[in-house]
Amino acid sequence: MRIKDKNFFYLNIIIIIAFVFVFDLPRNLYNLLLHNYVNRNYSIYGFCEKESYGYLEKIHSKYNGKVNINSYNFEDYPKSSSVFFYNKNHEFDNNKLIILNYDSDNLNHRKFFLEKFSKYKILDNYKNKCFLIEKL
Amino acid sequence: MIEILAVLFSFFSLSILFLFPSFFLVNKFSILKKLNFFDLLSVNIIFQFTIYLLFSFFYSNISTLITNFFFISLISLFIFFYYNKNIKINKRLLLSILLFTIIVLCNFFSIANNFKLQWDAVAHWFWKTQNFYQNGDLTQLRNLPYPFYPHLGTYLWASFWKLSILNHEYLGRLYYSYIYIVSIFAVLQPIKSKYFFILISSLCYLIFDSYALGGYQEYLVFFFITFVGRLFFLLKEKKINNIFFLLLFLLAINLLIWSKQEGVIYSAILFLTYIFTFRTELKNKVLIFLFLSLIVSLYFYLNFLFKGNLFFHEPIINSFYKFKNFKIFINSFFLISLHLFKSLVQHPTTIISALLLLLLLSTKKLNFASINHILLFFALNIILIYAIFYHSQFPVESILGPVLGRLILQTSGFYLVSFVYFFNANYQYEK
Repeated sequence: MRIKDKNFFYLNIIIIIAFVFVFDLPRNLYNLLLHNYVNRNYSIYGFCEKESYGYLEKIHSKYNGKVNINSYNFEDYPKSSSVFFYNKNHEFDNNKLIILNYDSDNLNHRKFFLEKFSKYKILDNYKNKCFLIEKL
Repeated sequence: MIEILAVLFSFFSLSILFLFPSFFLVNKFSILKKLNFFDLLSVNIIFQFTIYLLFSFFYSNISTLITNFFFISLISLFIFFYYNKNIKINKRLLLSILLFTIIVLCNFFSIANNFKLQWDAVAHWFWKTQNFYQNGDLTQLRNLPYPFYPHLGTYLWASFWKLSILNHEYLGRLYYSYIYIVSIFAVLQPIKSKYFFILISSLCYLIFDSYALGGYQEYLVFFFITFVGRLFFLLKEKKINNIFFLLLFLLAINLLIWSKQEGVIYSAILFLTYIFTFRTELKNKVLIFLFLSLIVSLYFYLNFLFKGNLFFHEPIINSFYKFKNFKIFINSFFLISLHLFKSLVQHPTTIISALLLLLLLSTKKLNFASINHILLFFALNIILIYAIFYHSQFPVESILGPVLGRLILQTSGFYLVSFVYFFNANYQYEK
């Protein structure tokens, strides 16, 4: 191998190693080693924030996963994130609804809640932000 | 640690699985000798996905089938190396496989660390995956959001999820990342330049989009379109057998249609590209038209039969209000053009490819006939983008941001062949 070719070969290797860093491989591996799946799940989807995976899990475990309940997210996320706990063998309980990311200080939220959900009773309340409600 | 092992196992199993069958048949069929290693992987993916698609209409669980393919492939690999002990793999291919492994693992671990399902995935794709994961069949999609969306990607996602060693959904969707990198390597393998490894790493990085890997079907569409782009190149430059081309073209088109709704339109665009830019007998063109009509009709018929629904996301006939009001028409045109430019910059492979082709044409290193199919595909694709946004009932500004970038991404692989033309035309000037 000529010196020039050899240098070019090493340059190739250096650039490829640089790409490993650009793709964030060391940090991704570090996070996988340090944080388990459950913790990363809560940090990605939130407990009672973002898609509120944690709160949905809490409600579904309350019913042992034997019922599908729709959810309504007040924040800028997909309206229903019940898909995480969807069980195709059970029907949707249309009398119940999980409310996510409700902000009582937000006038629009309050107005919408009163308009749509005034004929519901609260079965579970987490910090006035996430609820399980049921039709009266 | 167990998660890292699970990801590595997924890489190993996908790599073995997709060696079947063409890798072991190279010596038996001379046509396969014209293909590079990553072409063979692509052909296998097309072959296997077609079988999985067929099975999806009858079986909700294909774990046994995939496992059988895996073991047949693994045993064939041992037999292959047993009988070819003195096989010499060229250094460049070995380095390519090494680089491929590094890039795929970078992608896999990126998904593993940030496995968030993005908006559309939560809103409709993951519902289908959950159904298939719980051994639900196609008819049960009727009760879920957007049942008419094509199911191929989510069916495979659920199948690979079932076969993963941990019960984490993201392990099922690692295959999206695997196949798109395979297609990039397949297209770029013929590059002779000494900058090959740097170029391929850079392009993989430019095409990588962590958002689109969050449960979207874009990379599935990307793979099929890139594969067809590669087939066009092989037909034009390597003069591959016409029947072989037609077979793979139709299989890829069929899978494209079952991947995403716009797949039907992309298949029509690819068909038109073939009809207008390739010199072939009229018989072949008629044949391909008949098969395409059959594939599209089957798609609508089976969708109606199984899912009870054959509609698009929006009705095809609507008020067309953006055409009726001149002010809205002009405003929409400027907004679409602006966002189109922004998206082309965000996903720069298309724009770089266009510049490279222009440079080659202007310096007369390439004749127009070699690349007319790329230019026609590009033109039709741009027309499609404007048509989608003009047709939509939603205000243009509300849908441009999230949709346009993904539309550009899924077709960007088709233009990658420009890099092959450019670097090979300039290879003699490299010192």
